[in-house]
Order: sequence, then structure tokens, then C-alpha cells
Amino acid sequence: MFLLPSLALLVGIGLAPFFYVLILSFHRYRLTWSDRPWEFVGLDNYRYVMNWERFWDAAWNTIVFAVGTTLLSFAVGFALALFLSQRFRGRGILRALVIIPLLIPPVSVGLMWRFILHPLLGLVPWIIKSVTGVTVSFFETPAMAMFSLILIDAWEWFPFMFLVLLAGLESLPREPYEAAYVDGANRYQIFRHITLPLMRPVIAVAVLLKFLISLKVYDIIYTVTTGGPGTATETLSYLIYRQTFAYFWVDRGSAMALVYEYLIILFAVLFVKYALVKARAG
Amino acid sequence: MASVRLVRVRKVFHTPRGEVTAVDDVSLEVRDGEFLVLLGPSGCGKTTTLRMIAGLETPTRGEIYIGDRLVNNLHPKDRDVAMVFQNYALYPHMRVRDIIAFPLKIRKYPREEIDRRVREVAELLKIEHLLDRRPRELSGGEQQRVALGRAIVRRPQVFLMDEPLSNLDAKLRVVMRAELKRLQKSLGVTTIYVTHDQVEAMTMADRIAVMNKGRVVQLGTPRELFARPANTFVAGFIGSPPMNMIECSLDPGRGLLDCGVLKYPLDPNTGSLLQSRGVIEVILGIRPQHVRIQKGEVPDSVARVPVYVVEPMGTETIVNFKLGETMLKAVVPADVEVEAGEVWSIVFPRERVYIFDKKSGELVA
Repeated sequence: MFLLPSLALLVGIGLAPFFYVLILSFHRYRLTWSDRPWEFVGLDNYRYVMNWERFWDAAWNTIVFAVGTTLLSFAVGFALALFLSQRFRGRGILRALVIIPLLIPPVSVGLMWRFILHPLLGLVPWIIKSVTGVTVSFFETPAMAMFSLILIDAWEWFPFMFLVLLAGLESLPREPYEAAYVDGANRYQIFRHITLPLMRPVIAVAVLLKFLISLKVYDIIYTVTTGGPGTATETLSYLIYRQTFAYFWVDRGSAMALVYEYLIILFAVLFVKYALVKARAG
Repeated sequence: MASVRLVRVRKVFHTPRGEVTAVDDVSLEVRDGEFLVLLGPSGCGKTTTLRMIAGLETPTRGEIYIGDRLVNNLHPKDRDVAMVFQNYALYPHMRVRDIIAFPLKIRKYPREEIDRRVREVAELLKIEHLLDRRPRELSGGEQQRVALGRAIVRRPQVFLMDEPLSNLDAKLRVVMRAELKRLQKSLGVTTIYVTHDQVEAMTMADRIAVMNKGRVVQLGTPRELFARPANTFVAGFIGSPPMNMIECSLDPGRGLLDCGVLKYPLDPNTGSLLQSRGVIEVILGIRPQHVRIQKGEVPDSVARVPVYVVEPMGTETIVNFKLGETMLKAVVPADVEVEAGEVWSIVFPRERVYIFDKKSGELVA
């Protein structure tokens, strides 16, 4: 009874749009056709999407991007967390500095890096050119553009990894470390045999979260490459946005959105099942 | 095997509330193969001392030698010591087999050698059936054995044990106490053992170093500490029930100690000794086991008082007398029949009485 208001809210903002999209995906409907009634077309939209090369290219781009940025931000975040979990003077200030990228709005991050990496105006290409004499163009080739996007996104997200992993490191019990010291382990051995196994559940959660967040990337693509060159860095979110709100193909967009959602759910379930369960048992 | 030597070791911790001296000028020599117990109340610096020997803390001042080697600046792994922690500190993610093998594995021993040694140790500690379990599947006593196994497997120069029995239940503690002592003797490894339990210390140690407020207040065999405590702290800490301590003042005119209800006649030598040292306020100490009580009038009794409460313990009975503010305990055989309220004579056998200076707490006579 007392749950009803919140339940209504949940249905209103959660379930209703979902079912609206679900119904849309079985009809033919464009925003530009506001005077025409919805026409039921069964699985037509899905058939189109499944056979559309651009959709699968975008799916592949999304995965490449997500894997790349997850690995890179994890590597940087974990290294920093290990470094800043040690005791030394100035640690607090460094910790605060590391968080900064996370506090900048993604759109600003995108624009900022677009200028920093700009082939003519950017600082980084200029430095590389003056030091090595090589002209590097960060957005020209498909591979370079994807690499740059991964770099930018990882820069924005490594503080998240850092925070989660640092919290994990700080909460590890101290005794096994002292025991390992007395048992004769050196720093590397302690990392390999104590820290890493004890951190496995935390690492699994951090990587899973970051990977799922990265699959939904939109803002950085929009501000930095707008999916280019061509469609080389077009991810699913970006493709769906373009189809739905630039070309007004709401029906096809809905179908894609649902397929995309199932793909993400599939990833999440697989990951939880294998990685998390294994980490906990480990 | 090796001896361990501490020379004027001091450890100061810097805390937000200022400096805290945990260990203050401790000098100590542990002989090769000896079982030495560091005994003291919590916060007396015994664990810090042990951790400095292990290399987990750095002394602020002073030197620590293991064998002939100065180890102050040596990393724990290069000291060749093994430690058993109070909470065992087993590696939660490993199986027992791997935990015991860990010190050998990181030293890159050959596989067969590791397997052989782990099996030997498991047999010795009777934990063969636990080798494939993880710490959380073990009981406290089993975890304790695994921690011991990890220490033994390497055959180190020195064992360091930080209250290893304190997390076990009372019954198991008694069993493990004996086993640990036997194990130490059969391995012959120099052992430094920290505890706050005087029974553990008395039963296991070759020698005991009693610590208080960061200092070693007395070092000796259990018998020596029991028979000749250097001060009121040691006297009160060792023995159960603790030694009776009664505040008295010297009455030189009558040659006795005036302790309120109780008057203790001094022999002339002791009287003049106290006088010559200018000691007037004293603490008279006598162990409950040495207090004699008699029902009738006795010529050399120090007091005749009613029994306050009687505590039968089975093999013996503890009889409590109230002397003004202090309680006097006497341990008598169980067959002596005592009732609360009865008036008994109390006798202090002269050779069993300790007299401490009240100001310094040091033993005078």
C-alpha cells in the first residue's frame, strides 16, 4: 500500500519506456511521419538490423573500444593505487590530484582532448613533431582514431579504477603481509602471491563495472570524432542515436536498442557467472 | 640455531597525541636453543620487542643481533626467523598445503623437497588430513597448527611467537602448551615467546623476562622469579592467586611492622637493615600458599581475625580474611574445614615473607 507511489514511479520511468520501445520495434514508424498510423511489421525491423553490416561494425567497434579502455584504465588505475597505498609524505595531495579527471564533465574531456590532439593546433602532435620530427595525426586513420578515443576515455576513467582498487587495497588485512615478510617474500612475490589473489574479487567488480559502462559510451565519440573517420569509430550508442534522432528512424532505432541491451545483459551475466563466482571461490 | 642479543633497544612511536615509548632501553640475551618468554601486561612493550626482532618494526635506538650478525637494517626475509602470529595470519586464499609450502616456494626449493618437507611437518603436527583445506574451514586449534607448520618447515634460526595460544579455548590451550614445549625441545630452535599469561610463562619457559612499561624488570628462570621476585610488580604478576601485599610502616621502637590489624615482628637484622636504608613505609608480601592458619591461639600469630569468605577449589581451599581495606588470601589443603565467620590465627613463616620498599617497589628483604 505504502509502496504504491514509488512503484508507480518505477513503472513510469522504468518499465513504461521499455515497453514503448518494445512495441515500437515491431512497427514501422518514423518521426517525420507524424500523420501516418503505426504499421505492424512483425520482425521486419529486427531482420533489417541483423543483416545490416553497419550495425555489426558498430558492435565490433564498441567491443574494441570497451576492451581497450577497460584494460588501459585498469592498468593505470591499479598501478597508481598500488603506488598511493604506500605511506609517504604528500600522498594525500597526490591522491586528490589523481581524482581530477573524473570530476570533469565527459563533454569537456572530449573537447579538451580534441584540442590537445588536434593535428594543427594540438600540443601533443607539436611536441612529438619537435622531438622526433614525425608528424602524428591522431584522428586520421581508423586505427589511430580508435586508439585516441581509448586513450581519452581511459584518461577520464582511470581515477574510477584507482578509487575502487585503492579502497580494496586499503581494506586488505595486514597480517598476511607481515607473515609473508617474515616468511621471506620480496615485494614482487608479495604482490604476486598475496595482493593479487586477495584483490581478485575487487578487480573483478571494478573491471566488470568499467566494461559495462564503456559499452554504453556515447559522449566522447560525439565530441571527439562523431564516429569518424567514416564510420570507423561509430559505436552502438552513437549509431542508435544517429538513426533515431538524426534520421528519425525510430522503429529501427528501437530494434537496435533492444538488441544492444540484450548483448550487454548477456555480457554481464556471463561475466558475473564466470569471473565473479570464480573470484569468490578463488 | 643462534642466540639473540638486544643491546639497549628503544622504540618510540610517533602518534597524533605525541610520542609513546613502547620499549625503553631493553638489553637481553637469549641463549642458543633457549625458550625465553617475554611476560607482561598488555601495553608493556613485549610484542613490540618481538616485532623488532622479526624486522617488522625498526628500533629507534640500540642494536639487535641474531647470532653474530647485526640485523637492525636487515629485511625480515634475510633474518632467517619464523613467526607465529596471535591471529595466525594464514593466507586466506591458499590451501593448507600451499601455506606451509610458501616459505620454501618463494625460496625456490625444488618441488620434491617442498613436498617431502610439507609431509614431514604435517605428520609432526598431525594435520595430514587438513592439507587440502582452506583456513576458513579450520578450527582455531587447527589454524594454530598450520601457523606453526609454516614456521617449522623452513628450519629457521629463531622462532618468534606472539601469544600463539591466546585465541584457543582453555582446554586446548593446556594441551597445546605441552605440545609446543615438547616440539621446541625436540627441534632445539631458539624461541622467543610473548604472553601475558603467567601460567603459560611458568610452564613453558627456560627463562622469563618480565616486562613492564617498556622495560625488563626481571630476568630469570621460573623458579627464581617465583622464589625471589625483584619487586612488587613481578611478585604480583607471577603466582596464582597473586601474592598478598599489605601496606605497613616500620615501628623501630617495638621492632615490628605495623600493618593495622596485623603486626609482624621483624628479626633484628631486618629491622636494622630497613632503618639503615631509611625505609619506613614498606609493603609486606606473602604468597597465599605460604600463609599458615590455625584455629586456636598460637604464640607467633600475626593476627587473629574472622574468616570473610571461603572458596573451595577441589584440591585446595582459598580462605579470605579482611584486614581493614585489604584482603588476605590463604591457600589451605581441601581437607581443612573452615567456615566463614570463624576466628582463626594467621601465621607468616619468617622465611616466606618478602619486604618491599613502598616508594620504589624494590625488594629489600
